[in-house]
Amino acid sequence: MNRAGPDDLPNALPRPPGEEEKLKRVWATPRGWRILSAVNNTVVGVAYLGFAFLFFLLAGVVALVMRTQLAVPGNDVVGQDLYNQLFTMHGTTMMFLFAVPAMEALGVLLLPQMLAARDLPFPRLSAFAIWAYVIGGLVFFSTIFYGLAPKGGWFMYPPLTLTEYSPGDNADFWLLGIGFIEISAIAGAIEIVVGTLRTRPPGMSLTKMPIFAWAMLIFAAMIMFAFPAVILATMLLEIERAFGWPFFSAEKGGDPLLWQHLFWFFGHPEVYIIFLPAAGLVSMIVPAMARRPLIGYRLIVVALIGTGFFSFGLWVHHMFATGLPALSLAFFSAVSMAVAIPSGIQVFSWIATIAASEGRFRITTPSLFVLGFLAIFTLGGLTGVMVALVPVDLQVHDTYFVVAHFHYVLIGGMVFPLFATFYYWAPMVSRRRLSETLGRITFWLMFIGFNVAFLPMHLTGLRGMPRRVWTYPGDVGWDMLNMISTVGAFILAAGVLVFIVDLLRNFRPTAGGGGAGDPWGAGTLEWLPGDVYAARSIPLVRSREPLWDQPNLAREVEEGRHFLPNAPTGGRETLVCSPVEAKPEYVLQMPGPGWSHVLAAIFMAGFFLLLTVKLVVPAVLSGIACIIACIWWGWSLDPGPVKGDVPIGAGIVLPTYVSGPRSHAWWAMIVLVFVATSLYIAYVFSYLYLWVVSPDAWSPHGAPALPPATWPLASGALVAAGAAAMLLAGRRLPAPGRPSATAPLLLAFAALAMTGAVVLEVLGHWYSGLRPGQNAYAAATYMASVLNVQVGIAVVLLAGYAIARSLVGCLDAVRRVNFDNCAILYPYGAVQILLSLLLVHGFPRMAG
Amino acid sequence: MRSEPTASFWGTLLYILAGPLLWAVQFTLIYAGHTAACLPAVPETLAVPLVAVPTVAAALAAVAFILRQEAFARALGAPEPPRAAALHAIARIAVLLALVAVIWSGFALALVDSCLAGR
Ligand code: HEM
Repeated sequence: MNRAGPDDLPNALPRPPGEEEKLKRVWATPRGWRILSAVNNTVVGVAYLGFAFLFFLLAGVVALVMRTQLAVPGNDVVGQDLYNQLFTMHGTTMMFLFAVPAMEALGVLLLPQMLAARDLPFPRLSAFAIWAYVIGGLVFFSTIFYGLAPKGGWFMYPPLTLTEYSPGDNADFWLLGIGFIEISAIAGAIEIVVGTLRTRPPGMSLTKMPIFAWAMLIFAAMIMFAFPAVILATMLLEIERAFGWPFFSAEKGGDPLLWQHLFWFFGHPEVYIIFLPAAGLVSMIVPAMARRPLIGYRLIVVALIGTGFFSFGLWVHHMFATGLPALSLAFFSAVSMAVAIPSGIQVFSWIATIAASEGRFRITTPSLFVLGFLAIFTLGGLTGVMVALVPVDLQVHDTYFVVAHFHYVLIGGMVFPLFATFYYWAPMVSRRRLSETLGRITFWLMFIGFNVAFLPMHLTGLRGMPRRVWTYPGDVGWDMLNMISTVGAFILAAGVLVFIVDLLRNFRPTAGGGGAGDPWGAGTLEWLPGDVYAARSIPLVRSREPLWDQPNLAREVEEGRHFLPNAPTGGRETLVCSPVEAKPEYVLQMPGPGWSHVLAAIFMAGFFLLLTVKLVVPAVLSGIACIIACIWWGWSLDPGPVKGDVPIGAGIVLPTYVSGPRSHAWWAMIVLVFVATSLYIAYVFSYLYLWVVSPDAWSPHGAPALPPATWPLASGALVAAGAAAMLLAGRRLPAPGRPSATAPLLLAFAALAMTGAVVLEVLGHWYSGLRPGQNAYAAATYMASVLNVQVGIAVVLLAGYAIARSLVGCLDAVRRVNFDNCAILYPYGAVQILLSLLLVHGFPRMAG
Repeated sequence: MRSEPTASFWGTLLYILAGPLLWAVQFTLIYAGHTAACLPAVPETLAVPLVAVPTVAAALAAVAFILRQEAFARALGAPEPPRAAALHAIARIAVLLALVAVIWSGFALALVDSCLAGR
């Protein structure tokens, strides 16, 4: 690469006429109703955040109804059944439809701006994730209006949620709603991982990334490993409810505690999935307000990584009261306390940064919310350490003490930073700033209201009031405390109301165009001047606060003197750099607005919804329509190398098409493989767990003898042959313009071989007389095949797609991304099937 | 920008995550090992080595990492010191943090009976 010193910028002046206009044309946001087809991160990001906030309001109203009911003893504003629906709906909506999506939305909205990328690498994927979430979320929430809302609490423990105790569709709607969120969270995680690692500007090495980018990277990685556990759990519960496979029914060898393990293996990291991005936001706001770099950048990065890891070792602290061995409890108690270290590191870094500013720290609305966050979150953290102590937890488990604790960490740790974010970043996307006066009123009402509502709950809990009760007697000393809590909740709500007034009066989104400018004098790249195309040129970065350290940067970027100041391919594009040191690698061509991903989201919603209400044929039709929409969507994504190489500045010429490990598609597939691996590990855990609980149910004692070894051997041989064919197909891809049938035939064989392997495995068990509803062993055995069928279907679809591309001459040895996608998933699928065969056929033989 | 060899992404990832990964492996092993030791057919006394060995091994590995950090960076293909000083500091502090967590959870063995019901 050529050197580009401080005075030696990548591109020279004057820029060719019409360059900026072309950028504007290429990146224009669709107008009118067509805005629904938009994909620009600033447009869909604001919409995403808007919907998340809507769900916050809806769940907030539900909370107010609950607080009204609890204001006085013996109240009957709502009955018991409705109260059960209300707390379930409130908790589920807050956690799944507000908190996680709000953070993903901020990733979509802020990350590309902070990285000076033109957009995230898969713009339609983010838009798809948003539509899936909006449709799924609205349908799920609306169930409260016709008595169909779930009532098993936000963690939906079986056996309460099994069909015997929760008949009707209510619980299924919970599973449906969560299904949507799982899909959109994982789509978002792919986007964020690949975006953060690959679309940083040149020179922004990993350790020059803004802390928010680190936080989002870890957030996305945590989603990759935590969500699969709940995906598996929801699959198992829905399968048990629909078909009677007894994973959780103790009388058939199942165990309700399996749900708790899987749910909390997801559920605890979930809390940090919500908190880490919020901490990242605080780490951006504090230095801007203190007008100095953050103290302890390295420590904060370690704290984020450490919290991400430790959060996976905490799940059992939600199960202290279930009767596990004491030493197990001690391990989890230790980690639950150790996780306070990284959180403490962050708190001290923020305080140190404020202190080191020597009075230059500005008290603005965002800083007030940050200070409020520090106070509330720290208190929540302290009660967190208290409940990490097993004896304390046994006292306060399932009481209002815990309700107080988790609202301190959730509202303190996430809602306050979110409001700080609203006030801090609004000028980036709105023509007008939000009002400082209204902002301060909002803050004080929320801060006072919050503490009035939730501080007394610690006492209510210590006095023995259990959570999730719709009313209580008047003579046990809980009434005054509850009344105070209710008053506080309404003060808090008044604060939110003032904020809404502020929004209506002042928030004027620019639909992708530049905002009101940088009112804070911050140092990071999201404050570069920009338009629908984001920054005019992509800067060469030399430090963590480029706008502070390179005072002319904004002007140079705006003049188009940094990288890629134009649209050399004539379409949307951004720069892709190496993941560690951010050296430019290629120019990524991106899709613009479209309808295919919107239709895919609608039909996917149709599929799940229709299935929930047991309309199977329309559901299948909707599923097929979804697949067709996906194919339509994918068809335009592989433009091939037709645009050749293009100059980006500083004498650097980059390709506009790459395949293999350098391409963003490869990275996305790798992320997906990680997700599939975690899902599978969760399954292996479940299988072994059920065996530990009920070894008697296992073959040959509690179930028919396993099929003869020829069945698994044949199945294994088939899938191994398929993998070999896949390998060969990769070598036999034709040269461009010289079509050949070899590779498509090999691909078809590989797909058929995997299908055959899965079918053989199922048939073997079926002929041995094993039926999945028989007991937990049978269910666990067939579940391996369910997961294998899932991977098999994905492989068949990808292979079919690659064959179709090859038949129309769009796939060859150079233009091979569609083949590579299948070639990455196939070996993974083959290994998963082989491991399943080992587990399902080998383990019972060994253990029996 | 200088034209040094491009750092390996996976190597760098392993390098900065070395500490937390060590902790994760130790934690998985002691949790699984101790659960196995508390099964009815297994002697309870097995819990002690099943917890102590991974704990001591992980602690020693963490110390080795701190003492030979440069060699680890080189072997994994992470940018070598003095390049990327922040990256090395992050890797080192992460190992220190993990060491605390490793010892903290492993130490429970000295305080609590292995298979006593926790309630
Ligand atoms: C805005 C003010 C809020 C108020 C007044 C409020 C109030 C309440 C109340 C009254 C309950 C039911 C307690 C019970 O009967 O056991 C509850 C439960 C819960 N809240 Fe909130 N809440 C608020 C905000 C939030 C936020 C922002 C979150 C998450 C980000 C959240 C998450 C939860 C969860 C997870 C539950 C447990 C639900 C269950 O037991 O299944 N809340 N809240």
